[in-house]
Amino acid sequence: MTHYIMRRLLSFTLVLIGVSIIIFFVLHILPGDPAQIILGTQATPEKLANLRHLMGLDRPIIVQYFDWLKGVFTGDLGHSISYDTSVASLIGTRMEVTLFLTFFAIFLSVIIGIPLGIFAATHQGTPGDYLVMLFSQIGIAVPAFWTGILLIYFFAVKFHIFPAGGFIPFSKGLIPFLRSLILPTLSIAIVRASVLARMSRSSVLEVMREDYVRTARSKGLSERVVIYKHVLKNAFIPILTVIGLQIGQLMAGEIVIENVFYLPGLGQLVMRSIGQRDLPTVQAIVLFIAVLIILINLVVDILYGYFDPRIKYE
Amino acid sequence: MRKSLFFKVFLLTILITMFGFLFAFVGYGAQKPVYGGKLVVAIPAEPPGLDPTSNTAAVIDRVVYNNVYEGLVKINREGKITPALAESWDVSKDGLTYTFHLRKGVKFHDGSDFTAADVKYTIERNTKKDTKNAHPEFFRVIKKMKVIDDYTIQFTLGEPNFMFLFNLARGDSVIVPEGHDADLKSKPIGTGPFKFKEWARGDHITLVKNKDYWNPKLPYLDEVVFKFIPDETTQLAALKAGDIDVVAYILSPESVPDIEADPNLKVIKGGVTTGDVILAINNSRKPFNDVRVRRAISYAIDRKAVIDGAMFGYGTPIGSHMSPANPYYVDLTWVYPYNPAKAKELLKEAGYPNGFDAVIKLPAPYKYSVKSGEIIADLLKDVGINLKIELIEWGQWIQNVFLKADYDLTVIGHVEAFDIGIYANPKYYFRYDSPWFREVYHRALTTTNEDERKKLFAIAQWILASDAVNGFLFEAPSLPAMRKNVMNWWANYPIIAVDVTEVWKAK
Repeated sequence: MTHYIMRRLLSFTLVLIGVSIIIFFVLHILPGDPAQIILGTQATPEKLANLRHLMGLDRPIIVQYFDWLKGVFTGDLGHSISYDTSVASLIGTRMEVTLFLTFFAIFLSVIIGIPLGIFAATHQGTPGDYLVMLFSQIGIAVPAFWTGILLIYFFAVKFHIFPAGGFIPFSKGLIPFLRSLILPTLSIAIVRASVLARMSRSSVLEVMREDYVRTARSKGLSERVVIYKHVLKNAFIPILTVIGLQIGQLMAGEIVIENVFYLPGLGQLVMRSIGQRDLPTVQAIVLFIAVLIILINLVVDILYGYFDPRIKYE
Repeated sequence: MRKSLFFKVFLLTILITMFGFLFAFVGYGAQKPVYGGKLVVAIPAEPPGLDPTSNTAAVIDRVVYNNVYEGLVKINREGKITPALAESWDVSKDGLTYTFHLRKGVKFHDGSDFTAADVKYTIERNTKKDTKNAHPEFFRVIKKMKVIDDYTIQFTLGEPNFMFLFNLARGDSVIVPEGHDADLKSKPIGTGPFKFKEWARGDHITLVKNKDYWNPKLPYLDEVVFKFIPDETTQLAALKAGDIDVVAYILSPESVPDIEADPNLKVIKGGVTTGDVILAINNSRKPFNDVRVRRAISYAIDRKAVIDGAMFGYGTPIGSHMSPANPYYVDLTWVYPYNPAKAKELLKEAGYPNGFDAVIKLPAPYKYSVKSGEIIADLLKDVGINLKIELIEWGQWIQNVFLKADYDLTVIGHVEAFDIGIYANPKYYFRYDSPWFREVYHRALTTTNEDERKKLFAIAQWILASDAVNGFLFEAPSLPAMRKNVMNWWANYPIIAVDVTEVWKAK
C-alpha cells in the first residue's frame, strides 16, 4: 500500500507542475492588458509602461513563471491587483463560504440521497421505487439556481425565516452564520442528492445481481446483513467516485448559487478576477483548485483500496 | 358702522385662513429628520478600489463621492455647484483668476487638519507626469497655483474656462490628504460626513458617521453599508425580505409595479441621471463616414420602441449628447423623428439601395445595452441594414471598442456628467472630427457672457444632432427603490453619486 501511495504522490507532483505551467502561460496569452484595466481608459502609453514595469510584466515570461512558483511554495500567492490585498487572504476568506457550502451540501446529499437510492433498489418495481425515481428526476432536471430562487421566495420573502442571501461570517455568531448558508446549501444539496439517489440505486441493483449475494442469502443471512455488509460495500465504489467528483466541482465554487445568494465565495472571486484581468489572483485560484481536485482524487483512490481489496496496485 | 364691522370680520377671516394655510404647510412638510440608524444600500458592482482620483470607474464615485470624500465644491441633488471644502470663491472679471476661501477647522478622518497645502498636494498629484487621474486635463488648465495662506488658495488659468468650476466638483477632483498616496486605494481618508470602516471584499463596504464633520447637523445616519448584489432578482428579493433598505438603481424596470404593490416599499420615478445611452457609430469607417448613412440610421430608430422594449417605458428620449437635467439642455428629439421611408431614401442616395451588413458589439453585462441593441438591430433590418450581434465581455469592450475603436456600432451609456466635450477629441472612439464643433465648444467654454454661452452650448448640441454623429437614444432613469421609511433620497442623479449625507430613516 505504501508503495502505491508513493507512486501516487509522484504522479501528483508531476501533474501539478504540468498544470501550473499551463495555467501560467495560458493566462498570459489572454487579450486584455492588466495595466490598462487598472489605470482605466484614459491612460497614456508612458503610464501603462510604468505600471507594467512595476508589476513585473515586462520581464521574460520564464523568469515571471519561476518567480511565481517560488512565491507559491513560500505561501505568497501574490497581490491582487483589483482588490489591493494579498491573494492568500482573499482565498482564505472565500474558503469560509465555499468550504461550508461544499461539505455541508455533500453531507446532506449523502444522508438523503444514498438511503433513498438503497430503498428504491431494494423495493424495485414498487410505487415507492417509482416515487423516489420521480423526485430524483425532478431534482436533477431542475437547475439549482431555480430551486434557490424558489427557496428565497418562500423562506425569505414570504415567511421571513431565513435571509434572502448574503453571508454572515462565523465570527459574528454561529446561528446567523448557519442561517445565511442554509438556503444555498439546500439548493445545491437537492440536486446532488438526486444524482446520488439514482447512482446508488443502479449501483446497488447491479451488485444485488452478483452471485455472492445469492450465496449470502442462501446461507440464511438476514436481508439486512446481506445489504449492509455485502452489497453496500461493493456498491459504494462508483458512488464514492461521484462524491469525489462532486466535492471537486463544489470546491471550485458554485458561481451561479453565489450569484443568486450574493455570497462572497470562490466562484465569484474567480469571475471577477477574470473580468478585471487580475492575473495573480486567477493564477493562484486555478492552481489552488487544481491542487484540491488532485488531492481529492488521491484520497478517493486510497479509499477504493479499503472498499474493494480486489483492486490491487502494483 | 355696519360697513366697518363687516370689514373687520372680513379681515379677521382672511387672517385666520392665512394662518390656517401656514400651519397646514408647516405641519405637512415638516417631518423632522431622525438621527441614527443603519442603512443598507445595494449596488450591482463592486468598486475596483476606493480612490476616485486614480480610477475612472463610476462605481467608486457611487460609494465615496460626497460620502467619504469632498472637493472644493460639490454637486448637490439639484445638479447645482455648492460650497464644500471651499466656503466661497471669487472669480476675476476676465475669468482667469479663481480665489477659493477654504473652510476652517475641518479635519481629515485621520485627525490631520485640512489646509490649502492639501489642495495644492491634490492638484499636483493629479497633474504630475505619471498621475493615475483619469482627467489631468481638468487641472492642467491651471497655469499658476498660489497658496496665499492656510485657508486661501488661488488658481490662474491660461484662458477663461467655464467648465473649470464644474470639473472641480467631480469625483476626480476630491481633496485627499498628503502622504497617503498608496494606501488610498483600499483605505480612503477624506473629510466627508462618513468615515471608511471596512471593505469585506466580494461582500460589502461599511461607512460610519464622522462625528467631527464640519457640519454638526449632518449626517443623520450612524452607519451605511454598501452591499454588492449583481443579480437583479436577488436585489429585489433582498429588498422585499427586508435584508436591505435601498436598491440604488433598479436594473430591471419591469419590476417597478411589483415593488410598488408591496406596502412596505416605494420607488422614486421620473428622475433622471447623467447616463446618456447612445448607439455609438464609428464615424471613420465605411459606410458610416457618410453623413447620409448616419442620418438614415437616426431616422430608422424609433426611440419609443427602444425605451419601451429595453427599459419598460422608463427613460427620457434625447436628441443629442446632453442630459435633460443639465441647465444647458435643448430638446433636439424632433430632428430625426422615426421615419423608415426617409431612411431608405437617404441610403439609396448614399449608394446603398439594398442596405448593407454591419456588426454591432454589445457589452454583455449591461442588460439595457443588450436589449436596446437587439431592438435597434430589428429596426435597422426594416431599412435594409443587417446587423450581426456580437456579445462581448466588459474587458473586451474596453480594449476593442473603446481603446482601439475596432467596431462598427455599439450601444453604451455615458455616465459622466456634462461630457459633451468628448466630441471635440477626434481620437475618441467615435472618431468624429469636426473643426466646427471644436470651435463652438471652445467658445462656449471661454466666453464670460452667460447668454452667449447658452447659445453656444445649444449650437454645439445642434451640430451633433445634425451630423447624426451617434444615435441618441435616451437618458437612463434613476429608479431607486427603497423601504418606505427611508427619507430624503436623491430623486435624480445629476452626477455619479449615491449621496447619503442627508438621508434618514423614519421610525
